[in-house]
Amino acid sequence: MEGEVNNVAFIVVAWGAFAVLITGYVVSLLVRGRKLSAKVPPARRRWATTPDPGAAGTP
Amino acid sequence: MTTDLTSTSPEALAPYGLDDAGPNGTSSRTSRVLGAVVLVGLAAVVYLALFGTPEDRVQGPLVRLLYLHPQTATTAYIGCGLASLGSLMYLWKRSVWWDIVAVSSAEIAAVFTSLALLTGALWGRPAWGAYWVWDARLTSTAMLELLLLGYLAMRKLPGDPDARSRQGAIVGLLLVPNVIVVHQSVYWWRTLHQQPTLASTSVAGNLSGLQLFTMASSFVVFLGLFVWLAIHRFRVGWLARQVDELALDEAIAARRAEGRA
Repeated sequence: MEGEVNNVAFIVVAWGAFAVLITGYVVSLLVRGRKLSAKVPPARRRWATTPDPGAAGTP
Repeated sequence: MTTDLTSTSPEALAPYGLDDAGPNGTSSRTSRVLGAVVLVGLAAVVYLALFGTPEDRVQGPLVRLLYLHPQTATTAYIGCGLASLGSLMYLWKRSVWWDIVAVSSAEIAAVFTSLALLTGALWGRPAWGAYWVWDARLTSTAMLELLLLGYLAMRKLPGDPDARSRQGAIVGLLLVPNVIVVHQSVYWWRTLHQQPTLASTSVAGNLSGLQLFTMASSFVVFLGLFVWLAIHRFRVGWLARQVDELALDEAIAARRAEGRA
């Protein structure tokens, strides 16, 4: 019984660590994106509709 | 007539349909829809993994970690594969686009490799009695993580961006051979780590319908998560490049103005 309770703690910690790490990474990506995009005109963002699609470059 | 598109005021951008673009970061309609789908999928997987599926006859509740740990490792493999592909394509085409694909995928792979090591340790302690053993699978995964961290550190070194991209691409090519060693380690050496569960027909045949469904759907949801992260990380990389280019353009313009004066 005690062993099973301990096992549950490992499961909770593992899923919790996953949630915290992924949420942290997602937030860091969104914050970095916001900070950088404030410095870049929309015309130079590939994913925004631009008046000159060729300006953004292609692979 | 030229229009200054560096202005982000809604009035200046309205003629181009860009008035809602604003400083909205890296999201787009597609990424928002994908993000919502992934979020719902993750919630469903977490519910099924923790509450919906039955316990295993042998592993008991520990089986609930098998809906997380192999998925993080597989996502890391995909990231490494894409990073190597991006590196190869960069060396071939010298395209910035592929360079950003490579570095973005490597960063995500590093996050998921860390998660694979962490969740593996948390499964290993109750199952094997140790968080860490110098087993071929664990050691080769730790080496993969070190390679990824080294690659990312190298990409931050100051210097000529093209030389940095070229050197990074050469290191990036090493990721796939490393992944092959990690994956094959359980076949090539005697390891404590078991062989892939779903590849074993005897094990897969014993999984209940809901267990198999949860296992399979969690792989799909993690793939969706990887795609969402890759889209956003690529856009961060693209924006960083644009900021560098804008700064360079401004510096050149300032020097020209100085020369004319």
